[in-house]
Formats: sequence, C-alpha cells, structure tokens
Amino acid sequence: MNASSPSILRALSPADTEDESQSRALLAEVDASCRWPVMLLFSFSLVWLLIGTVFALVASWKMHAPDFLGGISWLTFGRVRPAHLNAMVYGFASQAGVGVTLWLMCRLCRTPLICGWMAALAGVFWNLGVAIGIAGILAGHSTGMEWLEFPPYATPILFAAFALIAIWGIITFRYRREPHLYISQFYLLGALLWFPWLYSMTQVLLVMDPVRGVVQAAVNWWFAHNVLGLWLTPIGLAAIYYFIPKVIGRPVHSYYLSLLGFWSLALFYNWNGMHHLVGGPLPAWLITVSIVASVMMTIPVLTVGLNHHLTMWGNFHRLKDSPVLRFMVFGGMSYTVASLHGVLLALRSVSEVTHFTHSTIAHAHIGMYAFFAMVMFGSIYYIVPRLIQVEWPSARLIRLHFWAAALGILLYVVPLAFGGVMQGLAMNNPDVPFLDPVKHSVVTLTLPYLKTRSLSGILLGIGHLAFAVSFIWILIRWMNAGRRPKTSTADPSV
Amino acid sequence: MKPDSSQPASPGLPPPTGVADFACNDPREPIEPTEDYPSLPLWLVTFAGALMFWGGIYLQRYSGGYAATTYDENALGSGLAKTNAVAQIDPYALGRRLFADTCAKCHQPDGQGVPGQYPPLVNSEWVLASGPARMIRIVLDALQGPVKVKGSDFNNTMTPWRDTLTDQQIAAIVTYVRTQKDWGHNASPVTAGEVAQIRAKTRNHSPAGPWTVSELLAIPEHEPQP
Amino acid sequence: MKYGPLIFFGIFLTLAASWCGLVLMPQIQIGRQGAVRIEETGEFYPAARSGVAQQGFEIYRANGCIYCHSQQVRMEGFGADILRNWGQRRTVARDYLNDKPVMLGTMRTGPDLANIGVRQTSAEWHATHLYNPRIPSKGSIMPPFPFLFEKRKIGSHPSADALKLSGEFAPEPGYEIVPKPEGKALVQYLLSLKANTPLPEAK
Repeated sequence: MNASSPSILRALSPADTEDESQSRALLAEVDASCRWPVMLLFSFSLVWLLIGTVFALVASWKMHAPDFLGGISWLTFGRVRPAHLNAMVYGFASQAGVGVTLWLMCRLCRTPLICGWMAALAGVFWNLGVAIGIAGILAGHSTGMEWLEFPPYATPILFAAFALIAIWGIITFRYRREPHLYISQFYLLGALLWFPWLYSMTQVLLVMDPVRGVVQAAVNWWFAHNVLGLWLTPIGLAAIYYFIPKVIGRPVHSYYLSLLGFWSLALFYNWNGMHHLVGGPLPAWLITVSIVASVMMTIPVLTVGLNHHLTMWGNFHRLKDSPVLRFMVFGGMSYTVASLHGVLLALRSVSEVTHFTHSTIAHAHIGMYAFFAMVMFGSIYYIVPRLIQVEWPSARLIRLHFWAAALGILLYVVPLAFGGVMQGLAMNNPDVPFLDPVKHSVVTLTLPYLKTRSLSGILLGIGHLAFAVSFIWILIRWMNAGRRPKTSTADPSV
Repeated sequence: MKPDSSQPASPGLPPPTGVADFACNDPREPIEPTEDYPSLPLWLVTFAGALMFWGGIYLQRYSGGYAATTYDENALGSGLAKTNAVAQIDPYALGRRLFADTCAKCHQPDGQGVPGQYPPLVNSEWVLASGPARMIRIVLDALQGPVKVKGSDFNNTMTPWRDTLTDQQIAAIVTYVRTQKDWGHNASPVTAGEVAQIRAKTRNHSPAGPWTVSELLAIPEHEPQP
Repeated sequence: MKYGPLIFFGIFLTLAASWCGLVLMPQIQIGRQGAVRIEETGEFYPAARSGVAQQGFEIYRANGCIYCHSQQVRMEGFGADILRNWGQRRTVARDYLNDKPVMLGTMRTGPDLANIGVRQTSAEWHATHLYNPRIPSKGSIMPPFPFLFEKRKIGSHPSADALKLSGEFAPEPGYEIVPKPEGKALVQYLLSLKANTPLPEAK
C-alpha cells in the first residue's frame, strides 16, 4: 500500500475526509517501511521468549526438586537462573521493546523508517550478542553481577547494536514531520537516550576499570534498577499511552498529567537503585536517599494510573471486543500494582521482612511480566497485521494466550509474594531453624509456594506456545499471500 | 493535531470483534491518538507537595549526617546511635536456637548424626556423662580422630567453637543437649561460670589443635574445684 | 517552541543527577578506603585471599552461588542475622575491599555466608555438602555439584581427601569420590569467609 493508490483507500473508508485519507496513506507507508526490521525483531524476541521460558521452567523445578538434571554443570541452578533473566530481559523484552519503539516512533513522527538497514543490522548484532552472552553464562563465564552477567566478550556487540538504535532514534526524531510531541514520544526518547548511557557507563565502571569494593554494588544496582525504570518501563508506558486511546478512539485524558507523569518518573526513578541494598554495607544516607525516591515514585505512578483510568472511563465495555485492549489494560493496572508494591518493599520496616525472600522475585515478575510482557504481547498483536497486511489466523489462540498468561502470572505472583513474607517472618525469628526436614523451618515452609510457581510456569508456557503458534501461522500466511495475486485486504466481519 | 479533536470511531459501523481490530487498514480505526487539556487536579498537586515535604524530612533525619562510615540510619548527625535493648532470653530457648544454627549442621536437627560421618548426640555416653568436663572441652576445642560412640566408630574432625561462641552460649548449648526432654536426656545443666573456668584452664591446649580421645579420657568427668 | 533540545537536556540532567548521587558520591566517600591494621595482631584487615581461595571465588561466581546466598550481615535489631549467629557484627564496606565483583547477593534461599568460614571450619563437611547437600543437610534444596568432583578407582589406599560416603550416596565398591581442583578451591574460598574482626565503624 502506498500513497499512489488513494482509490482503494477511499473505497474502504468512505467516511474519511480527504485529509484523513492522506493521513491513512501516510500511516500505511510508515507501516510498510517498518516491515522488515520490526518483523525481524519481533520474530527473534519470540524465539528468546520460548528459550527463556524453558530456562525458567528448569530453574523453577530445580528449586523444589534440586536433583533434577543435577549432574549437568551447564544447567546448574546458578547458571540457568541468570540465563533465564538475561534471555528474557535482553533477548525477549528489549527486542520486542525496540521493535515497538521503532514502529511507534515512526508513526508518531509521521515519517517512514529511515535507514532501515541500521535497525536491521542492530537486530542482527543484538541477537548475536545475546546468544553469545547466554552461551557464556551457561559455560560458567558469568561476570557474577546481577542483570550484567553477560561475559565481556558479548557486551560490546550488544552495545554496538544499541548505539545504532539510539542514533537511529535521534535521527528519526530530528526529521519528524509532526511538530506536536505526543506523550509516547517523550518516553521513547528517554528510553533510547538513557539506556546506552547507563550501559556504557556501567561497563566502564564495573568491567573495564572496576571501582573498588561495595561501590560496585552501588553501580550494579543503579544500572539494574534503571534498566527496569528508564528503559523497559518507558517503552511499556509509551505503548499503553498509544494503544489505549488508539483502540477506543478517544483522546488521552490529560496532556498535563502525561507531562507530570513523565518528568516525575525521570526525576525520581533513577534514584531508586539502592533500595535493593537496604540493611547492606553501604552508608546510611545512600540507602535513605533511595527509600525516599522510591516513596516519591507514588507521584508518577498515581499520575499515570489516573491518566490511563480516566482515559478508559466509560469505555471499559470495549474490553469485551478488543484483545489488544485487554493486554494493555491488564498491563497498565499491573504497572500501578507493581509500583505500589515496590514502594512498600522499599520501606525499611517492610524490607526487614521481605529482603532476601521470594517476595522480591514475585515483585520483579509483576513488573516484568504482568506489566511489560503483557503490554508487549498486546503491541505485537496490534502491529504485525499492519506491517504485513495479513490477519491473525485465530481469535481463539489469542484468547488462550491472554487467559493463560493472565491467570498464570496471577498464580505466580500472589502466592509467591505471600510466601516470601512468611519466609521473611520466619527468618527474622531466630527460634525457627533455617532448615529442618521434619519441623517447621524457613526452607521447608517455602516449598508449597515454589511448587505453585512451577505450576504457574506451565500455564505461562501454554500461553507462550499459543503465541508462537499464532505467530508462525501468520508468517506462513504472509509467505503464501506473497505468492498469490493481491486481492482486497481486510474483511472486517471476520 | 488540534488540541480539542476527539475522534470517535466512524459512525454507522459496528465495533470490531475478535481478531478484527487487527484488520489492517481498518476504516474504523481512528487516525492517531490525541490528548485533551484539562488542568491538573488540585488534590494531586497537593499530595505531591506533601509527599515531597515528608521525603525531605525523612532524608534529613535518617541519613546519619551523610557521613561515609555511618551505617546505622538511626544515628543522629553526631554519630550517636540509638541503642537497642537486648531482650532477656530463656537459656533453654537460647540453647535450642544455637543448637539449630550451629551443631545441627553435622549432628543433625534430630541429634542422630550421620552414620559413618558425624556421631549422634542422643543417648551418647559423651553427652550424658555424670559431669560435663569432657563435653565442654569438646565444644571449645573440638574432637579429632577415631572415637567410639554408642558402639559405632567415627573418625572425623569437628569444628572448634572457642573463638566463636561465648561462655553463656556454650553453657546454653551444653545444657540444652544434656537436658533435651525429647531425647530423654536428664543430665545436669551447666553454667557459664563452669565454661569460663574450663576455657581459662585449657587456653594453652587450643593452639595444639582438637582433642583426641586418649587425651579426653585422661580428664576426669567432673572438673576438680580449686 | 523547540521542545526537542529541552527534552534532551531534561533526560540528560535527570540521569546525570542520579549518577552523581548514587555513583560519584559513594566513590568519593568510600571508594578509596583501604585495609586497616589491627592493633592486637598487627595484621591488616581485610587480608588478601590465598591463591587457591581466589580460584574458589571464581568458581563461586561461575556457578551463580549469589542467587541463593547472601554475604552481608545486617545490623543488630534489624532482622535476626546476628541472633542466628551469622556474624558477631554487621558487615561494612571495608569487609568487601578485596572482592571483584562484590558477592553481596540478594536472596537467602540458603543461609548467609559472610561468616561461613567461622561457623563451619571443616573442609570435609564443605566438600561433602557441595557433592550433595542432602548428605549432611537432609531436606536441603541446594543443587548438587558433582561436577566439582571425580570418581576414581581406589589405589593402594583411599586418598586423604576422599569423601566419606555411605548408603545411596556412596560409589560402587573399589571407587572413591575425590574433589577436583575446582572443588578444593571452592572449599578453601568458603573457609576464608570471615567478617568478625572488630571495626570502629561497625557498631
């Protein structure tokens, strides 16, 4: 589809004005230009999602059945667990995020993808870096730093990929044709600029010329928390801010709330990092600063939640007929829950109980999965048909994916968060033995929650398989459509 | 984009269902999202301000004067820390807790040990001797080499606790093990003073390493009083 | 109005501010800390690790032990770390000067290890525990590390460091389980973990 076929557009959209038809034509041109790089990124992100899911199931099983695959060195829990984290964060989440970023930036800047080769090359480098990195972790070459486990021979490749994307992002933004800045563009610009700075600075301070002692921990958690807050969260919020108003056809409730939400996030989020070290061997003021910043996060979280909610107000009935909206609203509500949970966990009196427990893991998954992954799923379901001009084959599979994912993640986080609190309370009671095979002990009381987590993993895996089947099927349809002569595209009543 | 444009779905067509909102170039799809411009709610601004005020106070109070080596957030700027009162604890409970943290690693939580590796404590003649002199020495400086416990042979190296546990803690553990009701033990308890006495008497032994059985058997079960 | 450059500045400044606060300031305050000399013994604390223990440190890192074990003791009255005998004092920055990377850990699926070299001085216990944690610790969910050991035919007499195993864990008759160099190194590293030396800042 390109601007030279307005007659087809007019036939499809008789209610559009001339102005709107041209806009649609431009959007179609944007979509077509994004096709190859974004489909490449989405396809690979799905591969890493599946690989990460396998790692997750193995790791989760080992926690209550430790002799499962016990003799294999490259599958030992301490290697599979970081392999899972890195495959999901850098393989799945970041790549899906970059794909969504590319498309959203182009659409919102009203400019087709320029230098698409840059984006495609970045995708190739990114996957190479992640693959080499994961292999390195399983081989035992992990750096030992959480969220930064990739060995030093993999990270420059990732950085090169990232730098390409960031440069591309700035160029696209610079040459945008739409002068008004929509809120999603603020977030995307932030994400594209923050991440390479974070990553390069961290590599210098931790790998190339390491700082001494616990300052490493400070740098490590400054980085790790900011990967969540300044890279993934902005992309997720940008997507929700785009797709909710887009699908329901109403404007975002308030431009001013959007700005307040963005700038308060920018101001406060990146001071949070030290709340991972409450009670740890760092000066008290450093920890306190992060606790204060964590509590201040209530401002952007309430602001954004309010904005989304008031946008949806009166339109909740649309959840019935739009799978994309379901993913977005689930993700948006989870963002609020995850963030408020995080505020709670940062307080010293709560951290005294929950630090070092499974509650932390539950919290991480509310943020990474219930919020970010669900938003990515919804975004991919929306974007792909517009890129390749083919319908998703089965509404049932999409419904299965949503419900398996939603119920799966609820089954994961609720019991585990509760179990973590129980674990922490027991750990803080010195009369409860740490391990006793017969009597009540810290380790044995966590077992039911760990087993429930494995069960939830199976549900999540089913959702991911449904997603994979849909994706492969639509790819096959796309390849077949390429061979057949072009007929009319959408049949809206399907 | 005009600030006041709110674009509803095109009228006259039913809302999309199922997969149809993925329909490429769906004519019902609105052009691009826009924003409305109501002003910020006053309550939110007030709340944000109040929270920042709280944040400032908390930061000032709990930063220990922003000092590099102040780790206790309760320390006021002058470096004085709030002291936490040490709760009084029942010696038997202390002994049970310390046993679980310390001895149970080898002797097992149920005190039965591991055959061929770590001797059992339940009904052990070394534990239930009429006097605790040998047992206290074993806890202080450990036991090494061949030993017979309840007719079974063991030959291992125990961890010494002289430098890690105080007299009060050792007394609590030894009392707990000697009087453990679940194991049917009913031997005499031990005081911290007795442990201190033996600790002083044997301070020259510890550099030489753990006790051997022959050395221990040369010591009477009851510590001779001066 | 040209919002682009303004947004760019805002994005840059917010990150720069947190970098200054959370990275630069700690580096200025404690980045140049050195070892202290203990009056009673004349030795420096923290002492450098022996070569074998340093190799063990690398094994600890390679196998992701930090994902279940922490190495930090919280202060008295905050949690029950000291009451559980995980240390006699809280750990402070100076305790970690020689670690690269610092293995603070964020999970306690297993107990804290900051002072494991004080609580458990038996190399033999550590070796057996690493081979299969369920031998000395029934009900443990720690993974086994048999790949740090090898099964050998017993020579003229059993090796000094052969594991004393019985029952289902013992190898077939005529064979013994002996730690490989990696296994021995890891045990030495664990034995080196001590953080009880009194320090003025660690009240």
